[in-house]
Amino acid sequence: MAAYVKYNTFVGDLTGKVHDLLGTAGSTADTLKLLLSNTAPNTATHTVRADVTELATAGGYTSGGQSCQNVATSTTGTVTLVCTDITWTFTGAVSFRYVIMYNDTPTSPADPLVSYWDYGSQITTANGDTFTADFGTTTFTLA
Amino acid sequence: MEPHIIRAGQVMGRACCKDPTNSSSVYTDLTWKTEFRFCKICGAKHTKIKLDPGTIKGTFP
Repeated sequence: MAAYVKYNTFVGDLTGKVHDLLGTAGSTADTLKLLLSNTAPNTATHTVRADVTELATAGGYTSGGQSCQNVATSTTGTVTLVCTDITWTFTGAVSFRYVIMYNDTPTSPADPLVSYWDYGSQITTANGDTFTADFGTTTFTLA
Repeated sequence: MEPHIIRAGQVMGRACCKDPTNSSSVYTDLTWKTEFRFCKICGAKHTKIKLDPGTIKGTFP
């Protein structure tokens, strides 16, 4: 599995009331999104979406990415956040390597970063190809 | 909550890609921790990256 890599800013933002993740996205919680990038993230200096180099809208990819449909629950002192798998269907050549999660709801700071996963090498798509981000049963836990 | 949209064996994309009988075997790239398959009809490549869950642990004295 591709390793979860936390942005340094995330923990501070959690305790600074930037993120509201308990509950259902778009209802009682903020909406997390995944975007695609071909530029290496910097966990120390990147804090918001504007800091990362996202793919432009082209080839079936739309800037801003897709909603994770996140749902977080709290049980006996542990918060578990789960997301729904996301699939991109491409209409042409798109090159990327990194899958980056950010919070689309906050406005100050706007779109704070959460984490990223490294595909390991650049992938270039062709018309009709798909790319699925498989979250498994849990996206992250806070304990 | 059901955490997956994509059921086992189901592939997104064109109509031919969605028919499991048109799918190649699933190949696993251990180096890059992904799996992929091809559509035998149109040749489209369907890649899945498995995202490792994160754990954020606090220390509370």
